[in-house]
Amino acid sequence: MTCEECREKLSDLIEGELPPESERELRAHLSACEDCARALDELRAVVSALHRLPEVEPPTELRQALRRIPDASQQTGLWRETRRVVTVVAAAAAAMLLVWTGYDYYQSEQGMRAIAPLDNAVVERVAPPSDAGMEEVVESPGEASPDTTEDDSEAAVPEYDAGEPAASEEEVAADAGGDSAPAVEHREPPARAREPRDAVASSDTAPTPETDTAEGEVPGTGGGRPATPPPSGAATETVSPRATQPDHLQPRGPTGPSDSVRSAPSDDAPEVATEDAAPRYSTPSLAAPSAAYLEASEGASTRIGDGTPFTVAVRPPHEKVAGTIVPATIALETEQDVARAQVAVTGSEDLELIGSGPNGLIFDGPLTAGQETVLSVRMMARKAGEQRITMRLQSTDPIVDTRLDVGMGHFHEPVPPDERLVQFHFVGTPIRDAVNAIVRESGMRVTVDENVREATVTLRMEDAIPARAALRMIAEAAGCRLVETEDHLVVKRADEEQ
Amino acid sequence: MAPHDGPANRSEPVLIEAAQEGDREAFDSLVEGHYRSVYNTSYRMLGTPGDASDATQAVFVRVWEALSSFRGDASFSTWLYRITMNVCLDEIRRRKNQPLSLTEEDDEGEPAAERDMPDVSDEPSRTAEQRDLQRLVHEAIARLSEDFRTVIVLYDLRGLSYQEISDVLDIPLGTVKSRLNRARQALRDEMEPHMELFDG
Repeated sequence: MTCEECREKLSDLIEGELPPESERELRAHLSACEDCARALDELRAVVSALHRLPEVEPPTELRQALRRIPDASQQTGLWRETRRVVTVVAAAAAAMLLVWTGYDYYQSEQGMRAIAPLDNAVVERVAPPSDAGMEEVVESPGEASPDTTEDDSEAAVPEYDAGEPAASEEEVAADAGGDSAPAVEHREPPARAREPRDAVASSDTAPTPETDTAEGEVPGTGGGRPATPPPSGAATETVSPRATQPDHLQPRGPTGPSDSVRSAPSDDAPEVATEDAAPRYSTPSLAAPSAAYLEASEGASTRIGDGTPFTVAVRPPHEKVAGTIVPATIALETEQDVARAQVAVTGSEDLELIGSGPNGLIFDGPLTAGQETVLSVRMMARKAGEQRITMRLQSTDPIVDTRLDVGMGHFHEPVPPDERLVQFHFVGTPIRDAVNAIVRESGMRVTVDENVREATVTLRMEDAIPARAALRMIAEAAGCRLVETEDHLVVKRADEEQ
Repeated sequence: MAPHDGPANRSEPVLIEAAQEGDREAFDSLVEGHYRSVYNTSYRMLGTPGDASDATQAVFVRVWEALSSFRGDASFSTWLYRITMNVCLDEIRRRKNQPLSLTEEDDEGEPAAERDMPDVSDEPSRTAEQRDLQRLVHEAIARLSEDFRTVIVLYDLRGLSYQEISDVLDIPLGTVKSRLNRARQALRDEMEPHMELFDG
């Protein structure tokens, strides 16, 4: 490899983009070529400096000016614009790839078993059964909803629920202590109180205390949920190819993912086939989770899924460094109390999530309306590159099973020890102690020459700075200088001959 | 979407759709979610807060006017970056064609442009050394060619992936990588006289 060839690849090396063979070749060249090795160091330093450029806050007037745009719809500023049509090259392929990837994942993992499923019993109980059961259920309260097996079954569900206040609740929520929420909607089919129906593949078993409790805590959500299909605007973030449900597949209640009312093509054989094989799922009638993608490299938030009460704010690790465990946070909020929600997170191929439970479960419990639940996720990128996580949120009340792919941003190569940020306050600290502190913190290799007299250092760093810079400051403060040897630095008296 | 949702609680695709239909609050929510990013991108592309503000406004005017042409199957963020880069590159090219405006002098004989120089002290506080370094990097970026500046800003400063940059700039993925490599080398060369600042 020539030096020129080497230089062309340095950036890819830093980004972890080289195939193993090329990387080996490159590193071989670097160990033999001082010039290229220095070029690499310098390039790393430049990249490091770039990453440390801060975000700047815009002037406050800007925000005001932006508010006026729809009114004015006029040019301000330096240049006049000729109206230009912004051509949108169909990035559909790329976008679909992202979303479809998520979809395939769901498929291959057979739905709810992909991630630690909610207690099967719980889910079954709250989920209206397959259509046979549905009809039965619909008829029993005496509400004529003959067309419930069509797509508007969603609409039908709350309808009959609204007509079923106290009765079903009393029967089912025995332990609950009488939550008198009326119109508890889809989750409380009166049939549940009856004998298990054979039609239901996943049969109802006797209510467990947990279930009853969960349902008993159902807040008065009835009023909030629309009986009408969610707005089609939601189409962009969800990918389920099933639009119209075949008769025998009943979508969940109105809060479920809105896929079924989306106007996507309806002939989706593979999906249907899967759903059809009810026994494969513990909850055959649960609609596919909505999927969406969130670019959160700088932190971002979004509502999760359509028509759900959940919003999530994701903060990726501040220091996106490969090879180190770094924390991210996921802050979950809900507009209504949720008896039980589960959150599971998985990482992209090179991203290892640390400390999560089976199938990536990081949260399993109730959520209170208006209260933020902050989950910490620790992760380690095995190599530099773009990293993503997939977050899955499930709850039974409202019924939600939704997935979010979140871009965590670009993780870069670990910062060399010289550039690791350190921050100390030294007050009359002996120089050797100060040097050791920096060594410990950064991993730099530094020794202090024996001829260096005892000197103390008083230095207050207002902010974290690269270890090497800190070392230089300390050395200077003690009348010393830094001398570089083959593999480490030596702090030597400044007045000494080389 | 539950009836009691306010605009602040709506997801982006819903906001986009509403804004496309003329909902100003939805548009303003979109602005709120993206304007800092657009500003920062413009600031690093154009170099001064004044230009960045103007660019940001131009971007969102275009967004408001062209939103109907945005198809929901592409990423809004990508579309927005495309507009931002177009606006910035337009300005950069405009400057090239009107060099006189840059050398206009004010009463005191200082080049007018200097008055709008980035004030690094506005940036989050650092040691003096860090501030120097930041100013140097910022100015070095401003001296890069269009192509190099674009990939450096999008990749190293905004954290876009290669694929996203490829989509935004409509260039092949391989080109993004090789351009980034050369851009970083070019930036290093721009900072040649100050390399010792990196060594500490």
